[in-house]
Amino acid sequence: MIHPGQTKGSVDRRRFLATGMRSALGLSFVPAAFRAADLRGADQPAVKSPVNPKPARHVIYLYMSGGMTHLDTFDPKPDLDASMRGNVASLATSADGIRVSEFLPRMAKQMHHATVVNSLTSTAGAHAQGNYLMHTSYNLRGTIVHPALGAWMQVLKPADPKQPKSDLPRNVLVNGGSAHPGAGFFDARYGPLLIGDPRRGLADATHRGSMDDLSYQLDLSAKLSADFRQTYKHREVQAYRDMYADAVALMKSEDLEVFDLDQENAKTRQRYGSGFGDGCLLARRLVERDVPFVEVHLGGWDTHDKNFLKVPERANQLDQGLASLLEDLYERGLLDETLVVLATEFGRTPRINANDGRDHHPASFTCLLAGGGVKGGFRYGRTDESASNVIESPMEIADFNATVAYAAGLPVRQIVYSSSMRPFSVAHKGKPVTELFA
Amino acid sequence: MRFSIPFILALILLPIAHAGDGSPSRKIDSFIAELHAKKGVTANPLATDEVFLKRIYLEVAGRLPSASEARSFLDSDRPLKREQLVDQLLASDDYSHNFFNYWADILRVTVKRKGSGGGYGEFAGYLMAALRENRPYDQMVREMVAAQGLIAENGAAVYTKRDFAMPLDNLASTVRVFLGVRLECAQCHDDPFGEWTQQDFYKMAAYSYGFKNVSSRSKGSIGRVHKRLIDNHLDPKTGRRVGEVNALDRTWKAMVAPWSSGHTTGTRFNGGQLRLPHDYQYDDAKPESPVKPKTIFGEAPEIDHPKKRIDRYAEWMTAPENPTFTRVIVNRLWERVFGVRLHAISAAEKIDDMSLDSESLHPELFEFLVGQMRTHRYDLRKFLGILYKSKLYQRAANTEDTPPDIREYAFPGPVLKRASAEQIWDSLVSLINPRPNDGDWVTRMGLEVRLGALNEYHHAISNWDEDLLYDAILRIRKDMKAEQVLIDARIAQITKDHQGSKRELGEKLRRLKKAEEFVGQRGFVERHVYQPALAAAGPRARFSVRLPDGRGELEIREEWKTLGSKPLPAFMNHLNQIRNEFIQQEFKRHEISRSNDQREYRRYRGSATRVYRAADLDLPAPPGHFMRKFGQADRQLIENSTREASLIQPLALMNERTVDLLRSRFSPLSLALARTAAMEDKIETIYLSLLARRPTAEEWSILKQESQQRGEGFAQDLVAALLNTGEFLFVR
Repeated sequence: MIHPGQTKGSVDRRRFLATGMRSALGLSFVPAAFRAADLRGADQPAVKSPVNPKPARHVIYLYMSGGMTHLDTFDPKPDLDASMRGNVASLATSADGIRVSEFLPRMAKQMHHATVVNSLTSTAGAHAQGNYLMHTSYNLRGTIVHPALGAWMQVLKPADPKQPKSDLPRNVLVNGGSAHPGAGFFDARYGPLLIGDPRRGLADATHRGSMDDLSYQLDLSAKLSADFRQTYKHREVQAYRDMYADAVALMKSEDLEVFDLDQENAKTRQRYGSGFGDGCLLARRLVERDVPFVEVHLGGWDTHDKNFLKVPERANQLDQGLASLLEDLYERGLLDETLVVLATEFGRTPRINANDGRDHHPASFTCLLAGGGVKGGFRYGRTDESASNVIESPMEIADFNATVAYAAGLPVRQIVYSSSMRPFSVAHKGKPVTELFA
Repeated sequence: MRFSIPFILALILLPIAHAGDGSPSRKIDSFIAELHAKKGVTANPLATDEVFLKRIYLEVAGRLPSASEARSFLDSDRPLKREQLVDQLLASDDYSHNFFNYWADILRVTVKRKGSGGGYGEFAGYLMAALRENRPYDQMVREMVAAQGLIAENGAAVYTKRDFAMPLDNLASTVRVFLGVRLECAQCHDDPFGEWTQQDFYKMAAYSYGFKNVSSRSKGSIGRVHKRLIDNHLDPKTGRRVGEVNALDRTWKAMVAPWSSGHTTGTRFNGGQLRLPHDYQYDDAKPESPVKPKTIFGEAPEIDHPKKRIDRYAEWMTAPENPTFTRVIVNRLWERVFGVRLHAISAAEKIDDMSLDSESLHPELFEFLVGQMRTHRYDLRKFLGILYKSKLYQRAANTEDTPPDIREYAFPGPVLKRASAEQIWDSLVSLINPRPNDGDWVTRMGLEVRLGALNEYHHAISNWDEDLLYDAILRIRKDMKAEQVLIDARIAQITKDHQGSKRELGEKLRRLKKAEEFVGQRGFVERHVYQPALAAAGPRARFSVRLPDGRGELEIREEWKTLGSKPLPAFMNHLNQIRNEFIQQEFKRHEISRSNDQREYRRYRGSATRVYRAADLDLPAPPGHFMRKFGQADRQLIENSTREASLIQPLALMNERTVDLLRSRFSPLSLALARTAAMEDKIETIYLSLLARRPTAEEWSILKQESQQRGEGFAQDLVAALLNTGEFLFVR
């Protein structure tokens, strides 16, 4: 099986091919139709990745699924005609010259912590494609699944052996849909631990019977399945073996209490709010326990109809969760070492359609970065008077992801091979925008 | 083992297919043998009966065989037992459950069974019924793509209705699922990688554009009466709505209230014309100009009338001569059975991306299968039977991953795969739930009776004389006025007698007023509209609803019909009687005679019969449900399920409460174990129940040693151990 931790590094390509992929990478199989063309990227000389002197230790990645309307959130246009603005007012914020929509009153007080990127632009205008591109920096292809950032982070930045070992998973996804690319072509164990409802914590982490019996049963299980495992050398068969080891370690771990939100006082619970806010609160607790990557989803942004009924409710959840998270991380002194990302697959049309909704608009949209060494109260890029097109400093999704990876101290140019021996890197060909860093 | 009546009938009526020489299955094998010879590939050895048994149950019935089903197959020495089992399972209700889950993932079926609105259980009901009666695939597709009418009467109408605000997305999905063409990129711009332009997309979309939402309120005579009521009571001087108009409007609404919920909305195709988007950027047409329909390939259908356009389009799509329609379903089912698509560039590609330049791994075989699909008139069970009876399917599974590039792949045998979330779940359900195929039959039957009654009333009123209906509503209004006098008197009385704060009084009066008006209206509607309309409609066709597994239909009596949201007590009593019969049968079968045991069994049964099979649950199952952990699709996107491993899956198998029910002494598995005293027999039953085989010689030596050390508790240990093996989770 290919070990994604093993990368091309300094190994010369020719030697690498000559010594045989099996031995060099511990491959368990070589695809029958391996083609040299698949190695195109590897012909390029090894490029040094830019080094971030003060990388963030954690990333909290808040994903607004369905396509968050930029006009009605972080790219308001107060002077725009109401036929496109939809009578949404905007607010001045704690950052000079940056306004947010009236639906984000709490965030208005936190914008001095954030860099708002108003100039994202993409051509992926369908959900599956846009979501995938934002999560992986690659286009959705039928032939391969690319890993999402949380998986990359584990592969490129393994746990520090000097730190005390934690049984907590290093990649957690709260309330994510089944479309998440997860570990992609990496081993399934790099994929995120899924938390369905943050209020209920990690489901089924405690065994109802005796742990001694359980370990006996699992030993017996291993004995009885030796033959099956030997016969079937499939990646997924092996993945389950790893999962059991991790699952048992987690069940025995003292760190499990991190998932118990009831340990927070009522005031904190109220401050974050329920639903998305619970997810943000769990993210903070996980980050305190040094979990490197936590992703929290908030769905319902696909406002093709009734945009102005649906957005205030969504935005309210976002506002409360995100503002509380930033403030709380700041108060705890964690904001410097934690990068908070707000991302979505695309924006929505300035034009309001016949159903009082807004349709998909990948040409211009907005994401947000906060903490983790990025500038506070900063705006990057600009859209035109109707927020339809980017007119200043356009940023591709891959560049945005490269910036996030750079913030987390990941080597953005490092090439890692999939099992089909195709070369990939964390943000594809994206380049970090270092201007965003303080 | 219980057989349903349709199932036994099917067994008798189905010619047991001998996959003898010259049969389509043998033909597949000779094509595949050619492919092996050409590529220098050795076929995998034939799978053992045990491996075949587990595979065919999981893949056709969607669950593991019970221990007794496993024994009866393994111990049989009939020469054609594999073929016979294929026929038997394809004819079973289990097939419908399993393939329902398969299609629900493709068609994004969502169902919320409790709570109000947006449930779309009608679509699931449509799909399940179509699978149960093995409706031809081309007919099903036509029914969905061109469905019109109220969803209460035609569940297929949900197919377009659920994408209502997004007709273009609906078109993109339709073309992708049934024609294997990815048009979605061309929705917004010419596809730089594919062969389609935005103009192509819009021309194609022009066929299915023009669906409108309808609700029965505004339909036909009922709607006309409403209009007359309003028009005749407007203020004669100003032409404005006055108080009386609003009161009549409320009265009319009270009459239609029982069917004005989600159940009676639907769609109608009005043949509307599609226009290009305002930002259309190419030179071949102006933005917002009307689009003339044209199909992306094949011979475009003649459109006799705009309103018939959707039907002609659906006929074009599903015609045997359509260039991709038949190929897509053949490719889809082939991949489902053998794990790798036959017509493809890559194994990892989605099945519905049949770019026109992709090639078949064996073109002659592919064309042969396309011919078979047409010959058998899109009978999916028959077609699947041909695939399942091939030698290829009966071979051992590949022992390594399928390479991502499959151009050299030669089908040495089926592919190993993890069972789907639904298959794992349904296997557990049949070990936990004493009547796994019944689902929530009490709720289902209650709902069906209500819907049946609603349809009856609605039909009667729609066909009633319009003048009579008009007068009836005026009569309700008149009686309501009289009633109002009584209500006012009571209000005055209560106000007089009230002691306490003003706020309390206000609250009290508001509630009283609401309740009395509601009851009054309901009663008057019943007297003045429903009863005379029903009487005028004459003797009605009786309707019946499906009883739980294997018990046929129950004819609905007059006194059970209700328009209320809850079934009537008389009907519930009848259902309780049926339930009691089930319990008595189970007492007898499992020799549960002591009253303490019976009480405990009833308690177990109360929880266990609520562990429904996948197709009987909300779809998708709520977040955090066992199946979601194992990758059940969220139904947002086409084929969005996954079979990837994740940490929460072992946690679920070790610790979930549902899995814990298995350990109860009254679970079907435990009851089967209790029937035998010897540990060896118990071990065998556990192996058969969880892995569909008996232990091997090496396993026996481990098992004997371990069971002696652990004593009686070993049976439970072994259940837990096998549940947590790869062999349990994977289909080999």
